[in-house]
Amino acid sequence: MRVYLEIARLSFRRYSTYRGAAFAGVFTNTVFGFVLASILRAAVGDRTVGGLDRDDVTLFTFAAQGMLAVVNAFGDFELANRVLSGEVATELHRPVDFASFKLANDVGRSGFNALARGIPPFVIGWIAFRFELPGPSRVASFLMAIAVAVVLSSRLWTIVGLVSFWLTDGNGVVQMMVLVVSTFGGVLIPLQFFPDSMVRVLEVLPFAALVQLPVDVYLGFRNVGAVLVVQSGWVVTLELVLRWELRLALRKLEIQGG
Amino acid sequence: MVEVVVSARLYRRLVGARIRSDFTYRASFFLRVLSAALVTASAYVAIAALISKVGTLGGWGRWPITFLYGMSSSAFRFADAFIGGSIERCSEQVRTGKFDKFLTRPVNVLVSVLGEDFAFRRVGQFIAVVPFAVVALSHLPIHWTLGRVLFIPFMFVGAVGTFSAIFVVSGCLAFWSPNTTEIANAFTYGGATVAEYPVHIMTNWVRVLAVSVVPVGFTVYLPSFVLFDAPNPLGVPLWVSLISPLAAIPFGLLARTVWRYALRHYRSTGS
Repeated sequence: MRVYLEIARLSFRRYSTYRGAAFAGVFTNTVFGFVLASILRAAVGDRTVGGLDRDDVTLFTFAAQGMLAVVNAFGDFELANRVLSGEVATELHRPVDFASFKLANDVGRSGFNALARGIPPFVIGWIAFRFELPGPSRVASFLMAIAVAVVLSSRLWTIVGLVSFWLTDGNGVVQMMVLVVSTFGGVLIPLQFFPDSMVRVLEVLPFAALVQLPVDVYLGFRNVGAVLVVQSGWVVTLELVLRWELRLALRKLEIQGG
Repeated sequence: MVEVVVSARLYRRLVGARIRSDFTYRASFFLRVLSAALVTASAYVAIAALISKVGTLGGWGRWPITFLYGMSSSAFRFADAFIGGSIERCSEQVRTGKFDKFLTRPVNVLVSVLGEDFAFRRVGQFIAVVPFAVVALSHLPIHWTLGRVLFIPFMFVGAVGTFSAIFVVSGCLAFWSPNTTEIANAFTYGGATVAEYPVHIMTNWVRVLAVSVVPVGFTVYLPSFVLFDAPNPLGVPLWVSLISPLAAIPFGLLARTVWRYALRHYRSTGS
């Protein structure tokens, strides 16, 4: 356990050296926040749609944009490219469990991103629109849901990255998953705007558990207990899938060279 | 002139080579094109959902919005297939220093950048969104004249040009700072998102950006008033809509200047 804490700490340090990248990310998330908030505010007008009024959609948008980097909702190409280039062999050689190593790494990154990338877009959005902020108990529930979402996201994206073991180029799969998460995870348009029959399916899928469900908790639309149950269910399921996938991948792996 | 012919021939050969290499694993390739197409088209689900819940957006109902989505994402995906994807890869190579190889070749740098990283699966994404524009056009109560029919390809070419200019300028940011990939996304994908909705619903400063820094307002929104028999809610006169596709020319020239300036500015990584 100590070794994984140390990995998380080092990962936090590693990402804290990329200040420029963090700034660029904040810029992009904030721009998207304004664009999406602008669209959704116009769509809602003075009414409430799916229970959301103008203030709610604004808060939703900026909370979601801030969360994207924290829960790493869109993953990255790192693992897919490492499998493609063979560099993944170095990681597999380490005397630590690969899946847990990935998790520790992702947790460290999330810790840094929570401070550097999670808060700024939200604060800028609040300065611009002055939406009403939820109380401390909801903030606490929100943070709990985010913490589980971090673990869930790590499992999901490690599974997606390892698919590269079977495809010549896994980047396509990663790109497709990004679109799936952004469309069906409530990132672009909150699920409240989808037809009820679709919501009933989408809300129990892992994509919604990354961003939509935690923000719903923050807005007070969902009970935190119910959300944590859905999220934890997916964490366990995906952990099992990941272990199974890793076993198959290792059986297939052939390391060449001296 | 000779140079243009040489460049065009070279481009064709580079793209041909890419397509042949893609086709080596035919089944996996088609699977990738098909799934990329399906997933791209699924982005419409969110817009359709929004419209079905709220009815109209800034006075625009389902078919005008669908047309805006279909037309702008067709142009965006087309520009992405032939320009944007390669420029994105090129920024990555500027960062890692691999960009050097383009400069050592005795051919136009842009041509070899665009040719070498051509990815056919992006064409699949383009094909996936075209039907939205076509279906929307067939449902819109447009009073068709020859002028309006001809205006559609004009509009498409202009939109592709403007999106390409945005791709090139945002990609050039990488020549100055290695961490700009995400900032580039704000301009390219952020711009494409703005282009999918009527500009008049946006807050004031987003509107201003949409006709200046990230000129996506000229791509489909403004031209579409030529097809619809409705006045622009922002009071933009019809003649501006008529010539708005031409905005691609100044923005394209600007992009060319930025690209040349960026090339001169390029320093390798030195590692």
